[in-house]
Amino acid sequence: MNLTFKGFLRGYCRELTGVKGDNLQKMLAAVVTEAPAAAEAVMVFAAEQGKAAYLANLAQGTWVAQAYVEFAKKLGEAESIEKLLQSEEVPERYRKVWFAWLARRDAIQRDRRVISLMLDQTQAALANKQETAYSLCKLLGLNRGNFYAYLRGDVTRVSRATARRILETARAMQ
Amino acid sequence: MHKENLIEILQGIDEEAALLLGVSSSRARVILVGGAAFMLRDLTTRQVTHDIDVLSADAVVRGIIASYPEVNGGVAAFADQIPYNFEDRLVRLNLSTQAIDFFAPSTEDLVVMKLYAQRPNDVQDIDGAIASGQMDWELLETLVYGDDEAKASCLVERRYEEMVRAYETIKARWGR
Repeated sequence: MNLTFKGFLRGYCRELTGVKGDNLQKMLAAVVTEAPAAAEAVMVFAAEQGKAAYLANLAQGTWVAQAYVEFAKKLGEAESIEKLLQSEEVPERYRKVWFAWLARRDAIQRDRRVISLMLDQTQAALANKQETAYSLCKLLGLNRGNFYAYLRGDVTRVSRATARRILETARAMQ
Repeated sequence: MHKENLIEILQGIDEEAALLLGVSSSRARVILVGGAAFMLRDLTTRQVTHDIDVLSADAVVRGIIASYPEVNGGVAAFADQIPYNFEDRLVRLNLSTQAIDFFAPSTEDLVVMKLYAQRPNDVQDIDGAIASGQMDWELLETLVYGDDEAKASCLVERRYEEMVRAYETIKARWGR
């Protein structure tokens, strides 16, 4: 299932604030007490739900109030929350929320990039040691279909941990 | 990100570096600051952080680090907020790695950086460091007031004075 920006924010704010649920009032209460580092994420979560002004209003009298009012104002002038977070218009602290989203969204591509590097080195190790793919697969007890597809270049067929195990075993084979 | 996520990301970067650069005796050096450094050194009560701030990284690994959006490589701009001789006091982080050694500044150097920022989460980190019992107040005093440390790094006199005031507030609050 594809994770949306809003879905990411929901989990991210829960993680940062420790609040179980989507209640902005409870999240704000956490921000102004024990979880100040969650301030920006909670505002972005509110903005994604069209509640930036509501949260700014709710925050009146707290240390975060002015920053929230400024963000809500910028949001009102922006084309979209996503574009605003990628611009220099908002403090870097808000852009970090966007970067955290990119990291989560692109985690699979990142893993595949690393798996591809591991594949190259696995093939080199096998060639150097004149070992067969069959013996490596047997030693590891892996599914042969997935294993051979991986060796042919399909990096979607194994996890990063499995690719690591394959490489380490190939290097260690006598 | 929780502490275990931070470790996983840093070890992921290290793994990619080992695959691309090979494992050699001369390991790359990366210096971490900010909330992640506090968490990795068990200096704060907070459980999570947004990102990993890199103060400096050897050129060979900068390209790899740049492909991790949650790692902020642009904090060299804050070099004027860390005491001048911080490199003499670096602490190697106890992570199992192959190609990169990760370091963080001393507790006292990290605290000076946080004194410049002064946001509630920064104060939380400072209080955590003090409560952890790992703070050398004598050294901190030298870093704040000594001519060769924070004063030598700072480019704007007013910012330095604000930092000193923040320090004095913290000191009074902790009865020092």
